[in-house]
Parts: sequence; structure tokens; C-alpha cells
Amino acid sequence: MSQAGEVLTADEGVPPVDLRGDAFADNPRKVLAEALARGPVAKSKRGYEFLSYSLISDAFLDDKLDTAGPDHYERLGAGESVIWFVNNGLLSTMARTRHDPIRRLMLKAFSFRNIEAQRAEARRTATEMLETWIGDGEVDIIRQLTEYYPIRVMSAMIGIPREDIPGFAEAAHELHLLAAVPMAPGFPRLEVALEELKSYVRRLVEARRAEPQDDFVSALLAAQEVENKLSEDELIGNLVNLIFAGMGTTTKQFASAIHDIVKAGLWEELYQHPDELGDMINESLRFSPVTQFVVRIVQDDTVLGGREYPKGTRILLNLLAASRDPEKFTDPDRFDITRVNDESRLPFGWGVHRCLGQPLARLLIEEGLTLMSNRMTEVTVTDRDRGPHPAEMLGGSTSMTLSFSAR
Amino acid sequence: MPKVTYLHADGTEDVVDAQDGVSVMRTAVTKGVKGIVGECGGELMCATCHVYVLKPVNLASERSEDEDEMLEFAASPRRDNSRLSCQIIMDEPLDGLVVETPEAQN
Repeated sequence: MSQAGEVLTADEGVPPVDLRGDAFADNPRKVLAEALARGPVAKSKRGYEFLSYSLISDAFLDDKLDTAGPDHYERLGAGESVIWFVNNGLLSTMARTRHDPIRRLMLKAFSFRNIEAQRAEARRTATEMLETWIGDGEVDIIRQLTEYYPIRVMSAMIGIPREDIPGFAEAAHELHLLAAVPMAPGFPRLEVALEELKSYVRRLVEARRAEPQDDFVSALLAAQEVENKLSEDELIGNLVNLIFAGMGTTTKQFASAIHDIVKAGLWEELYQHPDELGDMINESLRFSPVTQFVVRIVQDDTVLGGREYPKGTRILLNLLAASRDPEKFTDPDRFDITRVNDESRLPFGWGVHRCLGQPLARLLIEEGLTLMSNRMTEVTVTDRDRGPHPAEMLGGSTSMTLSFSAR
Repeated sequence: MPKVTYLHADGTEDVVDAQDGVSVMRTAVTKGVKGIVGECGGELMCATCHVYVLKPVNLASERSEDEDEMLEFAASPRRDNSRLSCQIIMDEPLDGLVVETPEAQN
């Protein structure tokens, strides 16, 4: 440990952590807990892993750190469409000069009032999907609810006709390859998917240009044409990004919440005490964050946690480790809904790149769980896959079977 | 050190010493004052550090265009004296500042 005021180099005394071996694949939590017990930073093949909650909190707000930009994707050998997307659509990778004004525009769709107005649509959509299997007594809840429910509500919110969804869903799903580790093998598939999504969004924008509607696509068009706030590529790119955001993370986080609540024996509790729903969701977000890490690149030499990190250093904010940090969370491996999760820095992030869709994700999970607990009883998880390798950015199962009785 | 008072919806208050040059949002977050979140870290990218300025009254009108726009996304109703506290930087002339935190920030 450093003396007060003494700054260590990034490497000095930092223990290694192996995220590729069998031990991590078998029990990632155990490996990370042991690493955290050795110190707040460890070094893996990915870079410097920040493990403690407090260090990650500081890193989120350090303006000398930023997300990996387009040059990172270029170095990895990404194709033309991926480079186009990281420059024009993916908010988290865009240069700050473009990111800031565009993020403010996007916020218009994600204001609390706007999100709250989607509650009825969320309830309607979830109910419609549930009605198709509620009589069966068994369901793959991911395939038959959590996978397409978020994108349907998101589409209604921004003005994408529901009948269009099957046409682009597969391509949108492919974008999860942007979170794969390593990413390069997925580049050819990403090129195909992005071309498909771009061409769909171009058609949608042309239709709205010809005949504006009272929706977010038309509002963005007005911001582009009248106020000149974003280029044509940025308009298309950001709509592709919204479609991408509507798939994946909420799907898996919702499924994780179902799993955690069932496993903790709290299903009936939820039915009888719906006021505890928020606490259950918050605890599940902590207990099983599907975003397992985020990447930051040091933009200019900086000191964090008493160590100096030179420009260009790759830092992984390991949310999987921090969400079980015993210094922040007492008895961290216990699913405890009485825990005061007073702030939700994990897993939506914090700082300028905090997830814009957070209020929508939360609303979707709230409405979905409320409906399920009102209509289903004696719920058990009978099967569930382990999801991707735990060193991937996005974790969470891709299939989960529940058995239940209708009520 | 200039003092700032945070009044809360539940009737309680916090009076804290602020450092010159530090925002009212950052002061609240570092001193553990409830009711102010500051999700984006003070970059005018959210409205979770919304406050109502009670004293001095003229501070309410010193909003930039970006701040004005961002206040539209506040979770609690916007009023004439609404400000984003990340944009109020404490210094001696602001000693005695009184702000009220809204019922909800997110």
C-alpha cells in the first residue's frame, strides 16, 4: 500500500487475475472476490481491472478517462459499416464534441415524463404476449417474453411500426457482437447486420419525411432539418443505436430479475407486497448485473486510487466485482431486498455515458414483473443456460424455462 | 467558507460549508447531502441535480441555454426558480445560499 501522498506506477505490486482459465469460467464471482480481497486493482489480459466500488465510482467521473473511440475499432480491423456506426450512431464511442449535443437530443425521448407515458403500452404489450402461453404451465420466458417485449415498446415509443420488427430483429440481435470479447471475429457479421439496419432506417426516415407523424423519428427529423442539430448519417446512426439498445440488455436484465426473485423464494412476497417491487429490482440489478464490465481508455495521464495511469492505458471497470464489494455491500452474496441500494451506479454506469434508457429499462421490468406475479404462481426455474463466457461484456442467460400455474 | 443550506421536502435541512469554486451539486454529493444525485457528474447531460433557489432570488435567472433546455427533463416540476445545481459555483458572494431539493430527481 502506498504512503499518504506517494503515487505508485500502474503496475507496481498489482496482482494478476486470470479471466481465461477454467476457474473463472466455473465460478467468476469467486475468482473476482479473491482478486478484490488482494486489492482494488488487478491485471488481466484485457488490461487493468478496477474491482472496488469506490475506485469505479471515481473512474466514472474522471474526465481524463473516456470510452474507446473509433480509432480503437480501426486498430482491431473493423469494416466500413462498424466504423460508420461508432462515429455516427453509437453514442458511447462518439467524439465528445458530437456526443454531447446528440445525447441532449436523445434525452428528449428518454425524459421521465415521456417514459412514464409508455407504462400503458408496456402493460398492453406484455399482457398480449403472456396470453399466448399462460395456459401452458411452462414457458421459455426469454424466448416468449423478455426477448421481444422491450423492442416492441421501444418501437412504439419512437415511431417504428410493430409489423416492421420481424424484418430487422435478427440484424438488431447481431449487434450484440459489438460487446463480444474478442470482437474481431464478429466483424463480417456486423457489417451485414449494420447494412441491413441502415437500409431499414433509411426507408423509415424517408416515409416520415414524406408524411411526418407525432413520433420521435419525426421530432428528430425536425431537429435535423430545421435546427441543423445532426447530420443525415447521425440521424440514421442514432436510430440504429436506439433499435440496438432496445434489444439485449433489458431482455437479459429482466430475465435475471425473474430468476433472482424465484430463487430467493420471493415470488409470493412480490404478489402480496407489490410495493416491494422497486427494492427487488434494485437488488437484482446489483446481484446480477448483465453488463459485466465497461471499458475506459486513459485520454491523458491521470492518478486514480494512488496510481498513475499513462495516456492510452486500457482500464476495465469490472461491475461484476464491484457489485459484490464487501466494503460497499454488507454480506454481498446474499440477495437482500432490505438493503439500501441508495444509488444505482451499477450496472447503468455513471457520468456522461450513463445509460440513457435506464428509466425505460426499469419501467419495462416493473410492468413485466407486476403482470407475471399477478397471473402466475408456483413458479420454478426448471432450466436455464449459463449464457456467454463470463469474460464477455454482456452476461445473462439466453434461454430460461419456467414451470408455473396460472392464477 | 461560504455556507449553503439545502432544505428538503421532508422538512429537514442540511447546512454545509462549501469550498470556493466547487458547485452546489458537487458540494452536496461529497458531503452526503440527500436529494441531489448528479448522475452525469456535472456535464449538463441530465437533470438529477435540480434545485429550487430560494435565496438569493436573482440567481434563478442566470441560466445558460443548455441548462434551460436540460431543466425540461427534470423529474419534478420545473418552476421559475429552478436551477441545475451543478451550474451554481460557490464563492464568497454566494455565502448564505438557500436551495430546496425537489421531491424526486429520477
